[in-house]
Amino acid sequence: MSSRRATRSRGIPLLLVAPIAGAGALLGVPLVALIARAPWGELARELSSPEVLTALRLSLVCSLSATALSTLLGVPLAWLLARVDFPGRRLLRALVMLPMILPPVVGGVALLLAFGRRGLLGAWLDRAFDVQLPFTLAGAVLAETFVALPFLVIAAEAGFRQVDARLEQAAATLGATRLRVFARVTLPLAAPALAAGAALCWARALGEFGATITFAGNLPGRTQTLPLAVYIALETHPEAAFAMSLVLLGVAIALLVALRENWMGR
Amino acid sequence: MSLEAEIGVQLGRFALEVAFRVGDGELLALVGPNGAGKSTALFAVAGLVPLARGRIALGGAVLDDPEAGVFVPPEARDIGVVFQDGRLFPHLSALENVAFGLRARGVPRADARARARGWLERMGLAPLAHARAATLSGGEARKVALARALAIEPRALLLDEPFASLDEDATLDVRDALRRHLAAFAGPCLLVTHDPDDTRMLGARTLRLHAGAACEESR
Repeated sequence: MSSRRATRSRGIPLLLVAPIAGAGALLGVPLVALIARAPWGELARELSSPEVLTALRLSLVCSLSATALSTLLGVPLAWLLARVDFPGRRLLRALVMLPMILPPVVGGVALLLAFGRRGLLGAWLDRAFDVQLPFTLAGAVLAETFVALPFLVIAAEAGFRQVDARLEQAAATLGATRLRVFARVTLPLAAPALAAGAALCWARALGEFGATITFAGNLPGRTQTLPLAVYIALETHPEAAFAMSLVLLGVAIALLVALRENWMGR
Repeated sequence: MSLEAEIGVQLGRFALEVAFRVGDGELLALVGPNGAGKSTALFAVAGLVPLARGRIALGGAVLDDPEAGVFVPPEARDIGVVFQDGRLFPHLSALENVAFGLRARGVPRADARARARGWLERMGLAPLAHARAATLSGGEARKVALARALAIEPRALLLDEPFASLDEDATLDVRDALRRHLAAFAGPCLLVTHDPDDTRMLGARTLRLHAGAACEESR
């Protein structure tokens, strides 16, 4: 009976039907195609081949390590951006967000120039510690972290911002040091946002392709993660590529559902 | 252990200049309209708003003196604050809220909880010990906030509009709790309120503020 209901029931303006249907088809049909074309009968066999299992294990190790590293490096950074007013804060935030919009392959090239054997820092790492990052597992973790870190920082910063600073003041009057205020008040209250950020960060790391292949290469068993394996298998053994794609799609959907149900409220 | 304050604070265009002294076991009420600077004065004593000019000392120890370059941060002042809206930690139980300050002082967990339970019992809130702070009623939350501030055995107690936005029954209840506990509190106590009833009921000396300055003092 309300006017809002009346507006809603008037339906979609005719002019918008075509673009909306187009968008729906563009987003929906590929998913349907993947699900329809997937080798459902052979799924278990395709996914249990040694190549796929190796890529799957590598992907889990790399993406979880990248998430852990992002959390370690990103949470303090997010706190700084949310709570401390300093000159250059906007610039720092822009720098943090850059990998989200930078083509990943460019990120990979930049990582090579920084951490490659003759790179800005890489040459020193090579000489002083005999540490080489390109084309290693650690390099794959680094590349994934580079690309995924912004997702964590942005979510965590929003989480810290939404924590009432007046509660932090109250904690201080009770004798809590800044570290204790952070650990006992700020962090627990920002935890849902941090969890959501970590989940998004992990998803981004899991799907990382461009920066990883550029910086860490595509060495089966060492740096060939699931997305790289999908790309290669598409040429040699498409059924395996379909099966692996289905796994990655399933993870993405599960994550989306979890984010909606548990961490983001309504 | 008296509290001596000469407060000069500049917040944008708002300037606050007020001086007072509160003796041991004494209750001073800062009264006045909204925007008079009552809460700002209280926050300066707590260390949440730094002085631009003046000096704050408690029991002879200087807490804030910009000219001498002294500023003791709030966590090192040992001053209990009951905030206007309670400011309980919503993710903790009533018991954990009251134990928070003791834990921050390094009191072992079991000991801190036992002492916090004692405070809740004295407030008549023992059955709510494990209730989440966010689920408490306004009056209950205010009493938990009072217990939380008293549990650290502060050297001074600050109350910022402790009855604000409570209904009539809750106001009487909290006022009663406050009167009982203030009688037992040995240090100086500062109360910010806009309600003359509060000061009369609690037998406070009053200092009236208007537009950032003291304008009248009375018993």
